[in-house]
Amino acid sequence: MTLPKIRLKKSTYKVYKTGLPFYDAARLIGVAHLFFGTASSEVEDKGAYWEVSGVDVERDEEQIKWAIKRIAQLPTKTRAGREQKPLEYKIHEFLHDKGHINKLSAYYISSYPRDSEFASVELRNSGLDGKKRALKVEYDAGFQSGTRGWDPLSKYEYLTTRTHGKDKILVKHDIEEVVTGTLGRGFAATVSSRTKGQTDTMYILPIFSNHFVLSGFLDFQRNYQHSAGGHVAAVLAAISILIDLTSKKIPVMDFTYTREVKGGQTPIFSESGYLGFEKICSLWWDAVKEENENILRLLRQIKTFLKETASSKDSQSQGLSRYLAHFVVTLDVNSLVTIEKLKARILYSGKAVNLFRGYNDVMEVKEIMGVK
Amino acid sequence: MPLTVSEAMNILERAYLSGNPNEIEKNLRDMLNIRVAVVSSLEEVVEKIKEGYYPITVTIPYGVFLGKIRERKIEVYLFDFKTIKEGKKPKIVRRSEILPNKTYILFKKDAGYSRKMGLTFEGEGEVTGFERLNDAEKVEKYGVGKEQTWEEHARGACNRVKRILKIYEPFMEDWFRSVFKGQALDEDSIKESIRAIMFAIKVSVLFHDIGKLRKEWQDSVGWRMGQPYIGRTKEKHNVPFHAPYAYPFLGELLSELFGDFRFLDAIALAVARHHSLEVTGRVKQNKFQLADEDVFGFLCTLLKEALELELEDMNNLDKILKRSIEQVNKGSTIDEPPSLSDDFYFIYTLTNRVVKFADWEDASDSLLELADLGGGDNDTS
Repeated sequence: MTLPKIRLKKSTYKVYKTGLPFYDAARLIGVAHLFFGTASSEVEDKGAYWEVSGVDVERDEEQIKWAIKRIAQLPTKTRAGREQKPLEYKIHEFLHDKGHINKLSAYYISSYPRDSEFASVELRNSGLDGKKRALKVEYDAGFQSGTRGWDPLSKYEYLTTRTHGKDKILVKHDIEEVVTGTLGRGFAATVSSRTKGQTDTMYILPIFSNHFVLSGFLDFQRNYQHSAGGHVAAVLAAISILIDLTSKKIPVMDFTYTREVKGGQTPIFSESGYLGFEKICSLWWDAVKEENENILRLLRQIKTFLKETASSKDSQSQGLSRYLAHFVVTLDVNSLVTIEKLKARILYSGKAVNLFRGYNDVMEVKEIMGVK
Repeated sequence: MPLTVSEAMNILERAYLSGNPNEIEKNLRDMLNIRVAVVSSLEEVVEKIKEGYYPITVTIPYGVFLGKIRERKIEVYLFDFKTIKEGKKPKIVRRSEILPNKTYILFKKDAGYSRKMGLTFEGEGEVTGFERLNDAEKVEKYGVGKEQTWEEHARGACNRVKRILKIYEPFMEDWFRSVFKGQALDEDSIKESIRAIMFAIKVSVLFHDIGKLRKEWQDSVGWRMGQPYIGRTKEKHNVPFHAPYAYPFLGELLSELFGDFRFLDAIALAVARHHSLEVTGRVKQNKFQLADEDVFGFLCTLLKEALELELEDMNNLDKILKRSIEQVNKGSTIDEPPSLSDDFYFIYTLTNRVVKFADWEDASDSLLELADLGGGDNDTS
């Protein structure tokens, strides 16, 4: 017999980078899931854009709906009785139409610069025209006008007054970008903390290496909080996501975030960027590659400790959690010394601390710090 | 059953939350089983084994078994197949010597066994009995395999997989039509693509033991230059692993033959996991030194003959095989198996199943996979 051929068609989509890390990561994850969600997509970083390729498959619409529904709030009614639909809900409805998916696909296949495939009438009918699709801080704090970062004066050139009411549109995005960005946002983990009437909400997404295969759906725990503050909660989220992705074996390099701090309903500041957890990510990835169960066990121990102390009101536990989070990010000796001092104090008060106990744990901690 | 990593983590976390290290031992004892054969006398066991019978066993959790032995002070004998086959009586073991995943013999006066109630340890009961096992089960349970050359086993496994894939063809077709519905392929393209994927699986099964053609492996089983390459033998001394090499080799070979499709990698990985699911796809550089230079020509002819392949340019096939071997020597990084939510997971699990069954069936020379559906013992059509 002659060699039969596989007659399947493959598609390659291009996701051009905007330079806003969270928005870019969300769109990349969105495109991969929208077009290859239940199959495998190969992602390659080409510099100005990502190339997402794979065999065309029948999309599983239920899974796409599931991802967006998670962030889509139900419509509300105004006093006058008019129905108001949040952007995510409109996009959820928009994706019901197969014709829309085909247009989205055509847009991402084409090269830069590209124009939206949708006519303005079509968008008006879906309520996705003009100002109605202003991107909120959840897409990336970079889209927000107003104060950015915890020390806004250090970057005074970006400082503008925060507008009241509706968010101001700084950039008008093609609807295709908004749709995939919204879908990608559906996969973000939410990290929240509250202190004295202030609400700090952060959304984080993993950043992968420059060439990887995304197989099936990204699945990890999505909600985190910690009484010791937002940074500790972010570390808990990062470690937890890494552990959840261990069996998927995807090379996570770091995390990107977008964050907003509010006092009541008033926005105080917002920021976005990278969490800077490269050290712990590369440690985890080496452990996954080499099947180093000891390192993975230690990471699980850290996760369990942070999870157990997440709602602790004990200031000693909170302090220990803060230094542990700092140690996870920096892997430095000073934090470790402080951790041990705090542990000694807690032990003195008669409480057990299940963290870095025993000979094996100490050896692993030494290994991850590169101390022989 | 081996403990999976996630199960082990679960136990550790539970032990941590309860603050009790004994929790780990308790859980492990609940999860691990031992097999028990209930007999009337030790002489009977020796006699039956000589006649080619094997004891029927019942499983019982390890912890429960230990508890009963301590409570009732029962005599326990170890079932060691090799010793008994030599005509020696089973040895009595102390409670501290009882290990999980082993088979033990109890007398019917102590075990209180009945078919309805199982092991009750309450007075006199029935025996579990004996059965005549087919060769495949012997291989699985007692490590008794037949000696084969590499070529015999490759051809044998390939013939077995042809029958097994025929059974699975309708499922494959159904999967293909539903997953690739959006491609709107014409009927001929669908049929040809399905044939191509099945063919890729057959090629993979043919070369599933490619790692055994390494010089290091052949040397470890006493192969000498000029002899046919060894595939299966009882003369094993520190045999190096072979299965993981199938991943980079088949990954390259299949993509050369059929094009760059991700699910071909999934087929390669499933085949590399024909002994253990722990194989990640990682292979070190320059570890694939062939037994001798004749391997290329041998593989080329085998591929052509075993799969009745008509290729116009055999020279090209030789080059493809060389490139595939070179690819193995470049080393490979960790691979990602398809996840449960992945459309290609079906093809991964199907390949993993058929390669295992083809391997076992050929090693034991019997029909295992859905034997009722496919002819007699020697039906490999």
